[in-house]
Amino acid sequence: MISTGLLVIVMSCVASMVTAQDDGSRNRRRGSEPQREAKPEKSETPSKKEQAGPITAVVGGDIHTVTGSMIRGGTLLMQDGKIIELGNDVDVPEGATIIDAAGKVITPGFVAINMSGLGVRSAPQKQDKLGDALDPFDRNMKFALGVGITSGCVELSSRGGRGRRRRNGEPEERFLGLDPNPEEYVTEALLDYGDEDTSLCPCCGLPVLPTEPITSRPPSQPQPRKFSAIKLSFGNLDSMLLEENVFYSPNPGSLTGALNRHNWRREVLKAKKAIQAEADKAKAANAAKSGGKETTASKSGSSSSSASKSASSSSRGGSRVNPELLRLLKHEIALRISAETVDEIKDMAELASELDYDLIIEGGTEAWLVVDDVSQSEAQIIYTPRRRRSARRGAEETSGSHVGSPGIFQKSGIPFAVSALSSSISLGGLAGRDLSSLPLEAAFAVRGGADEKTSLAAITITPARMLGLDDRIGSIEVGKDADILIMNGPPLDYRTYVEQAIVDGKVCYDRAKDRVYPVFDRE
Amino acid sequence: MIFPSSAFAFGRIFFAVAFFFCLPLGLHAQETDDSDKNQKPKLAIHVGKILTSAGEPIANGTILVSDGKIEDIGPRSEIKVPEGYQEIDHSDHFAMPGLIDAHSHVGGSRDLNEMVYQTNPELRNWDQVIPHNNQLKVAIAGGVTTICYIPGSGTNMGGFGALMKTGPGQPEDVIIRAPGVLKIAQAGNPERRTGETGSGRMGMNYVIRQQLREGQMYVRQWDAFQAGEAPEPEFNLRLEYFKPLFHREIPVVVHTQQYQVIQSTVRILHDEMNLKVVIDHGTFDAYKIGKELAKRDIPVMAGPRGFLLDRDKGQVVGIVNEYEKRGIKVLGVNTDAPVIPQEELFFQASMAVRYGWSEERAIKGLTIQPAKALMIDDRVGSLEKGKDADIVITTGSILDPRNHVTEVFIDGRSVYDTKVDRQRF
Repeated sequence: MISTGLLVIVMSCVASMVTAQDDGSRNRRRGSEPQREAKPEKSETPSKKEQAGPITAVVGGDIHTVTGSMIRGGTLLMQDGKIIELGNDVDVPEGATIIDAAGKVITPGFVAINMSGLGVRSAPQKQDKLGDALDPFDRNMKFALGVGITSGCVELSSRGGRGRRRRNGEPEERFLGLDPNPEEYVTEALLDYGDEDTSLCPCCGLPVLPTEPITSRPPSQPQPRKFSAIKLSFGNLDSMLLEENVFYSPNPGSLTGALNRHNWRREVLKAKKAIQAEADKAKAANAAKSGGKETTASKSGSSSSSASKSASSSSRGGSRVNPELLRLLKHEIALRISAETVDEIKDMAELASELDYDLIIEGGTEAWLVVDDVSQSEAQIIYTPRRRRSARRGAEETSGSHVGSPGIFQKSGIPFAVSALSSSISLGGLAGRDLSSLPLEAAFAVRGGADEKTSLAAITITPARMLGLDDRIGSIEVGKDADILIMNGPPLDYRTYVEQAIVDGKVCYDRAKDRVYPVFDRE
Repeated sequence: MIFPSSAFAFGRIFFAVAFFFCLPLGLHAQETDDSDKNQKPKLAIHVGKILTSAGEPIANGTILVSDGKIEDIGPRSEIKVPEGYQEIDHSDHFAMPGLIDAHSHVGGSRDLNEMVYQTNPELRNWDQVIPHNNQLKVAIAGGVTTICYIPGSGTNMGGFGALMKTGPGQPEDVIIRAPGVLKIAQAGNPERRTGETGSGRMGMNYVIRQQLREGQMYVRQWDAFQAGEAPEPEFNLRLEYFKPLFHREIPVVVHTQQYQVIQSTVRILHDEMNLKVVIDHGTFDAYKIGKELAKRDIPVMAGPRGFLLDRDKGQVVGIVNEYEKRGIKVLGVNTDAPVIPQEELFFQASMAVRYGWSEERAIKGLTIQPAKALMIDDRVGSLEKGKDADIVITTGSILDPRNHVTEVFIDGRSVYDTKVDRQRF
């Protein structure tokens, strides 16, 4: 009974989400999107205030808006989970709850582009909807909120953490760094000999040169990974789900190699035809109706499903077009794929330009060497500053990771989001290496030459844009969700603690009350 | 269309072959490294702020370096730069002593666990030192200039380790002391589950006690012989390195954690055997026995774990700060590299500060405290007259990850300089 009830709630929540997102174009192309106008009209606000919920005012803090300039000693009004007013000369209406933030620093809630084991009852599988697996009372959320993470992107798969299977859905306590082969220490020899196509001669031990074709791998149909975005609104299930399927994410390597690329091009072409067919059909229908409104081409949910229907009906060879692929080609979502080496990155950038979709490169170890290719394709990068990969012997200047990458990206105008060394909260005791070190990882981006503003953006608005959710999260602007952090120091300072984390206008974490991190006053 | 992939495969093989040929080249490169070994430049380094780890910080200071040592240090106004000294301007930077890691496994090859016997006092690892290896090059960029390179914790007594600098040179140039320390491991890693004694704490404690007693007897016999009180005992290579240990010239660093285990560490190694003991892990809830350690002046170099989740309260507790509260005087952090990358030693202290430790104590916990624990504070660990010129120049407090190391001097020689080298960390 209870579970059915929950399900209903979740379903209705999902439904409301979808409708909410349907109005308004969701074209997420870079450049065309930047500042969204403030949604609620000023004249509308007072009348709304009367029927709407109570107002909370955060007063006196230095507000890092991220997208705009900093407001010192500003006031911020929140109502019904949204930011309704912001500035230095904002009057606090009578009856408003006041949170005194004098001497404190205020930032938007952080967005973790890689998150796992948080807010979910058990590891959700690919075929699930994340909305069905949410747990609004998961304690791990408090640890994440305590460092400022208010929303994030969860991968739905059978694997948790960094590629380990969970037993019986139990949250696994992992000791990062104590793993037998931490990826930072893969030796050069392994990297160089690790090619499964290369075998060694049993007599002399030298590598055997393979003859063409190297192997006859079956053509692998790109099997996208699945990502969904959630909010860490502790105790509040209704606002937890942000959006399902935020990326089109083929498995690493599934777009490399001649055959894979050929298949990918063919599939994209097929999908483009389907989109064209749908557009033509809509046009014809409009013409028949003669003079309806300009419509639905850019709608997400309904249009893509109908497009896919038409695609399947008119398909050659009978195979269905993946509806997520249609969304990718309409620039509603981006293609997120892991690419580390120069070759991989160049290939991915080239494909993205050729086939015209938004690209997010995950990893990007050697991206600093090919910034021109990356910026030409308007790709964005998910980067972990502390991840290290040694250069190939003799190619120290042209391979491997570079600590200065964040600075190089910034100079080249490549947006990057910072991801922590691990996607999950680890309570095993290794400090500063799990998801709870996300803001510190951004501090390492400053070490790598990026400025403070860009590095803060790398854990707020940049990942929000990648998720296509920058109309709701990632910065402090009127009309956006009231996801706000009140901190006792600069956001990227290693000594700073989040005093309060407000999600959708509600205080979901309070350092002094929750006491999940040490509570003390620093002299 | 198959051409690109075949080129890729050939590329792999080419690298594989090239790798073989590179090996001897690598050795040659090592040799050329020490051609400028005898160059010990005379330097006058002007610094904006010097954290000496020996008293108050010096604003606008100058460090005079000659013959690999610190010749003088003080406010710039009080130090006269003699003729012939190369002046280096770091007046908008910080200077501090080189960082010291009391627990590291990356000073040479990684074959650091001989797993046949449970105790291996006959083993030593300084024949495997690889000076200035790739790990250490990055470590230097994190400010680490001295490490305690020790055998692993696969057995209860892994062998004797060496104290060494991270800079270039031949092994004999970089090794500070060998034997440097004895490595003992209790609980956890060395447990034997194959039907021998030592699958649990009772067995392991017996094994350790028995071996140390044997060593103690051996050293006593030799001492008696030296004093002319007894005939010459039979030489035994297995027990030979126990001599400096029982003479309290070198410490034993102990992989020990959880408070009951540390209790036995204190009882056996300190109370019974009268050894110089360093708690070189001391994680989980081990801080609970901190007062007993403080009473005996036992140093603690905590890590690689920096916090404990107090499951009763559901709260994260900073381990280093808990030791501090219980009065441990010689207190520092370690990385257990490669568990935590060697270059992130400073970050271990940063996290301890985040969980409540003081910044001043953290700077000392990276420098002079591990030097004291390892008994090399006569040479390294602080910027004082007569000590080794191991100096780290940073853009600000090293504890803040946003700052970085710009130049490092080891024994008075610049071994890393972001003006010349690419920033490595």
